[in-house]
Amino acid sequence: MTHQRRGYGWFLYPGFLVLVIFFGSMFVWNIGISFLKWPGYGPAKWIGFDNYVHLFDKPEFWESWTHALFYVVPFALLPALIGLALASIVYEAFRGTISRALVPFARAGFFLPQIVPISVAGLIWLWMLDSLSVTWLAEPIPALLVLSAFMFWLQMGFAFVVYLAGFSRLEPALLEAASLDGAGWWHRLRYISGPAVWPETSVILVFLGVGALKVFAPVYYLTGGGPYDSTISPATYAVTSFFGGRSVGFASAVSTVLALVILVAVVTVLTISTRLRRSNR
Amino acid sequence: MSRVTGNIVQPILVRVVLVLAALWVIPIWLAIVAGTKTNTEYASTGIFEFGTSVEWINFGMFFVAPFNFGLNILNSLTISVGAVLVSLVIAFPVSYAISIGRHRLRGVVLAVCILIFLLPLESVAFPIYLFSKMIGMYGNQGFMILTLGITGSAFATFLLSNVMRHVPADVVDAAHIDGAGRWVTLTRVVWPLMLPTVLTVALLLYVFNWNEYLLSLLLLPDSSSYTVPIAISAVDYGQRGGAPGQLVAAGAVLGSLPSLIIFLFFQRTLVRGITAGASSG
Repeated sequence: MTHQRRGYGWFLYPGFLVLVIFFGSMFVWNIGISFLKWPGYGPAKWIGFDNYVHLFDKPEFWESWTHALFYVVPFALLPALIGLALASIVYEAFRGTISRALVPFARAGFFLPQIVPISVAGLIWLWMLDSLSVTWLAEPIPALLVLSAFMFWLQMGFAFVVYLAGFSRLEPALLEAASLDGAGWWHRLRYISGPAVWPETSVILVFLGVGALKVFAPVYYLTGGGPYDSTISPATYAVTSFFGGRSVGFASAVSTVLALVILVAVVTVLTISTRLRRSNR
Repeated sequence: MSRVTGNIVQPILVRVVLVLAALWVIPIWLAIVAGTKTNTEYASTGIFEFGTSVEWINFGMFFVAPFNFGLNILNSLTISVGAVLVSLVIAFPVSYAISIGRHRLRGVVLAVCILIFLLPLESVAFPIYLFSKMIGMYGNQGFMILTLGITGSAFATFLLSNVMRHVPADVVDAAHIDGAGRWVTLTRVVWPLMLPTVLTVALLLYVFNWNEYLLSLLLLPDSSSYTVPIAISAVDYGQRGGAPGQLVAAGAVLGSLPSLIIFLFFQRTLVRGITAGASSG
């Protein structure tokens, strides 16, 4: 029986207030700047929604969002799909007698790109492309595809690791029974192990999906958004606008839109999933 | 479940996974190979070819002028470790209040933490930059540590409170009956129980912090205050006068080493941390 516990405010409020006040004020400040015509120094002028109007007129803005939606595929969907398939193979193959040392090997291999600084990973990829004497990064569509491959290489390990841990909840006997009944690998994944890791799937998709919309470092360090803005993402567009001296107000408008889109997306997904869970009960 | 009668997945599938895992590591491996070539061999061989000798001295070269990479590593260490401490100091009491104390704001705190975690850093980064200039802390390492630490505390609170929830109520009640106050219960009972989780969170945050790029890019303008990822990308862009490629490769490997070592030694711990976050939905 849990009785009412009081007096924990002293533990909660100092830390929580630091967090909320810091982020809240910076977030509001950023929105405030987005209403200014301001190069980052000197006097600022209140221009209302002009930055936003200006922004929606820019082809780069719409391009960055087209790319962001596209990046959901190599950054979230493919890693989740392939990560699930690979994790299921590794789990089924190694759950028993075969040397378990291979599991950490596979896990370390796939997860490695998550550990290396992205600037370093980007550098190595640039060298590899250089050494292959290809100029893919100089042309829009090939650059987009190389960047996609880079994103997939970076993120697949995350999904793999989370799924592998999720499978550990499964009862191996269930899979063996299904196997004896003639269910192949695909059917076991489709009807037994796949549905069992639904919680992991939703976390991976929310986490990586949001990660795709706000992606910065992979784009910044591999293509820099180029060539001709053909790989820019909303986040790199915001940062380059900020540094490019166009206008701090404009850059803030770009990042405010990004934050609002993610906010709406997250709240929508969470609301729908809670409703679904409730109606299933 | 110990004996498995046979392998229920096709051996060919398993081989595919292992080959893929090896493939995933190739870029990192190539960097090590490139980093140990001599100057002439680096120029004459492609990145996919081996050199004839192994020049370990390259790793040492990076520490002397003009690179002084040791300074960057020291910067990264100070910032990463400092920020981890800040995050824990904020997150542990908050987690204690909402998990052990079941503070009525529990839901709010968790929602705020998830939101901060998912929102793009770009939506607060510009004001943080302006704020640092306003209070004369631009380029200050302490300011960077605090900012990064507060940012990380959202994730830390989320993870810590998830695990702390499972501390049995009886243990806490027993401590209270024995006359321990809330503070003593925290330091003598909950902290020791949570130590493995605290270590996990600390390692995860450390790796995040080590690889952080956006705040480092915005807040640390001098090359003497560069962190490892920024220093390496700065070398790449020739800001230090066109570094020999094999030295940059050696530096890239060195710069990844601290988080790589942690990952290889604490693989299970890190994975547990990631999945503790994932499995709570």
